[in-house]
Amino acid sequence: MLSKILSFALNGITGYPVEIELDINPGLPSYDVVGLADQAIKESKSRVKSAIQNSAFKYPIHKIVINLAPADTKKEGSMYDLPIALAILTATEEIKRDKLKDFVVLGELSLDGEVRKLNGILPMLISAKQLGFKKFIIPIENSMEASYIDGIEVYAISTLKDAVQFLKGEKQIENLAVKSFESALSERTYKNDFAYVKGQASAKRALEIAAAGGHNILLIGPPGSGKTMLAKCFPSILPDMTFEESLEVTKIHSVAGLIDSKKGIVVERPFRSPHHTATLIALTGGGTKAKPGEISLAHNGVLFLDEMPEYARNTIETLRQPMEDGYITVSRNANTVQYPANFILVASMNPCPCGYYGNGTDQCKCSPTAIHNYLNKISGPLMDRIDLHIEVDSVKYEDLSDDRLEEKSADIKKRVDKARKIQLERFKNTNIYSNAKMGEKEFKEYCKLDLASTDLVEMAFRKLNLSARAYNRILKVARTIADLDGKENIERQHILEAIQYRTLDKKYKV
Amino acid sequence: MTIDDNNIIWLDLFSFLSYSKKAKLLELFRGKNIREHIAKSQEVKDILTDHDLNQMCLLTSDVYFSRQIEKFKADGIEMITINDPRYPYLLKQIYDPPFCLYCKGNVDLLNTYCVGVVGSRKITEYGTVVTKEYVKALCENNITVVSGLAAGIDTVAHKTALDAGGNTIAVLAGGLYHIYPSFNTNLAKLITENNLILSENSPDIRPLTYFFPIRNRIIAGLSKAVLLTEAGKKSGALHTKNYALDNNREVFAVPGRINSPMSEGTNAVIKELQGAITLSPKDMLESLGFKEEKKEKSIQIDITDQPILDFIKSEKKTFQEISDHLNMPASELNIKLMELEMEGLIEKLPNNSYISASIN
Repeated sequence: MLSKILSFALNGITGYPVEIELDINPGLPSYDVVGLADQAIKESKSRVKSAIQNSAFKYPIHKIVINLAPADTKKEGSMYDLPIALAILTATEEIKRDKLKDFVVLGELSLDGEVRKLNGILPMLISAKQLGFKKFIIPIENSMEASYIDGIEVYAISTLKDAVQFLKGEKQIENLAVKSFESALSERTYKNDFAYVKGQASAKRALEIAAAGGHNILLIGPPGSGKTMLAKCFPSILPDMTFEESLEVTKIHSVAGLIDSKKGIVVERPFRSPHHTATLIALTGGGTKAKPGEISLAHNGVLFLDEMPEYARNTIETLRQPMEDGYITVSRNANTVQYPANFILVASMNPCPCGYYGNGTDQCKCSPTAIHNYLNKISGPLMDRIDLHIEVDSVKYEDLSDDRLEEKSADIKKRVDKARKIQLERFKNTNIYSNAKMGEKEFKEYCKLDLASTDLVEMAFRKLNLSARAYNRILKVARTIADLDGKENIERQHILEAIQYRTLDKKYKV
Repeated sequence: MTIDDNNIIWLDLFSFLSYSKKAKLLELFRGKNIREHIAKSQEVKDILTDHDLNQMCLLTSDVYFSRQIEKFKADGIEMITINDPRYPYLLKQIYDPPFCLYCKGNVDLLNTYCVGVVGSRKITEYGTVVTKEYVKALCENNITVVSGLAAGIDTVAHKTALDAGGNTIAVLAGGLYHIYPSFNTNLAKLITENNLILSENSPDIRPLTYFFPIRNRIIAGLSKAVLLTEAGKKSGALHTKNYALDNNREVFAVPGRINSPMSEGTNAVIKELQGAITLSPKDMLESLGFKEEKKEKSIQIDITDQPILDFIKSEKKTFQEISDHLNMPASELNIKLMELEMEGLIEKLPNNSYISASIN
């Protein structure tokens, strides 16, 4: 007896339909899976058999052949357990054939017949919806993730028995209610808040500008000055994600298996801080399964590289292209996958190898050459993509012990939101959404200077020995400062402040 | 070029020859082409070891020598030997003047009024500010600033002189093809544009550790006076001071805090030679015989800027401290500090702190 059932597979974060064909023939009992299945799918034999028997159904003692079509793409994972079990039960006529016709089925089975949670449900459902599929059976633990998609019928089941009874019409299971994104947003929590960071007024201001314009930022300061803490607070002042942004992030996190099943959707902007021993593949994505890397997991959020010069040079250099394009293409022999990677880079570093260069209290013991080499570890092209450099003050005891009130993240965020709104309005009909991403054309149009400001920039370049590449950066940052200020044009004071954030151009380089 | 000049340049190609050996060889072969006669001469055996002599005999060909000279010339290097009229008069007066100066840049500077500005490689913000202030004053009086292109005080001195549009000479320890430290390569290039870098070593010779103290005699030799702005206990700048004293040059030292290890050297100099103390560029220039012309500084200081300047006058303060002191939000203070920095009234230091740029 032959039976067919639809399921889905993932290539990167896009899904494609997989038809599971199952044939039961007389012969010696066997269980063969064809269609480039991986080990996990082949092992489904034992899980499916036990689950069917432990759910009090009959397992056919015949020759079973399973084909996963299309037969030429590699299938991975355990999501085919449930569809295979249902296909067997259809072939043995436990379930009527026409009942399963419209369903896309996904789920892993445990030996006692329970259905277990999967990774990557959301991207599969979204792709399926786009391809016109309407009805889905998924594990109950994934229901939160699935409940944000409108316009499809999703049935979340907890056991194989439930699924069979539901398909037979013996048990009623409600279609998942669609949850509103706003309700999820209101549950959003950030662990860190700028209210807990004492002092550091200039660094906070720089981070505010970075958040408002989507600029990459580098924090330079001695050990223990709070660079990491500042960076961790950074997501809390970023504008809220839109639903689309949130779905994109959730898709990637879903594939990586990082979704909190109680929440289902990612509403906080991600904050990823890979350790400096991270390999190139950990950062960019890849491996045999072409998994998303840290930069994709930081999509729409923050990638924090603590102690940037400590990273292997080739590892951080690979960031250059995705920083420009907003995505990364991961090519492995099995598949080529494109992951979005649109993040704000927050990097931190010490001013010298020992960390105390220029510090009043602790003497730096580094030789000038060592300092020079340390700073040179970050290449010019990468430095070029970092708009703001800010030095973080070392913290004094008085700063910590005094109990004055610091501004809350929520208040800073209000200003950031306002500035972002101006930018969204400005770049309305383009695919740009922040000042940092301005191209040549937009730059010419929106970063115009009046005569007095042109003179000022010229003077600054001459007096402070700025490098030529600082020019665009200064004007882009000045544009953001003007937006924060609510001004239509870039003015003198905006430029003056923007120049402050080019420390490395004027201070450390000859 | 005369035969003697050629002899000097040829001998300079060998880094293993010490000054005294060169002097003896030059004396021995005065007026004779050393390359032709060295192999046959018996007297050289008293001066050179067999190994060194063998090495030198391998490179006596005219082709090799003229190629070297052509290469140096093609790279814009001028060879000014001790017999050359352009050779600096003051330098010639010292006990062991270099036989040849390999120069790149504006050689006219060799016979200008020079003052050596030297100090430690590792410096504090105090040293930076002081050095800048003195160098600016020297440049205003058309005095050429001589230093060693090392990190620290030397770099500050050269850069400030360039920025102020003054003249500067960098005296290298190694040959001109080996700029040390390498991060000053760019600075060296800037200096050659209108100013001068020079070395007593042939361009191909790498800098060795013992070249550095010897090089300091040239700095002292070229200069009428030597100024130490900030030097630690074992700073090479103290060699320069000794050479300066030996050769009857003026020595000035800027006092530092008595508990600062970075000023131990300068303070010790002051203790030894009480006349060396200098408390302002003005008093140094006066004792050198320069009359300071009264120049009105025409910088308009905003009335609101004055409290900032007062606050960071004697000691560096971090951004946070200034912000707290004046109760000024970061965005506003950023602008103010930038304005003051562009006016040259304050100096931004590492660690996000600021200090007043003027010492008076």
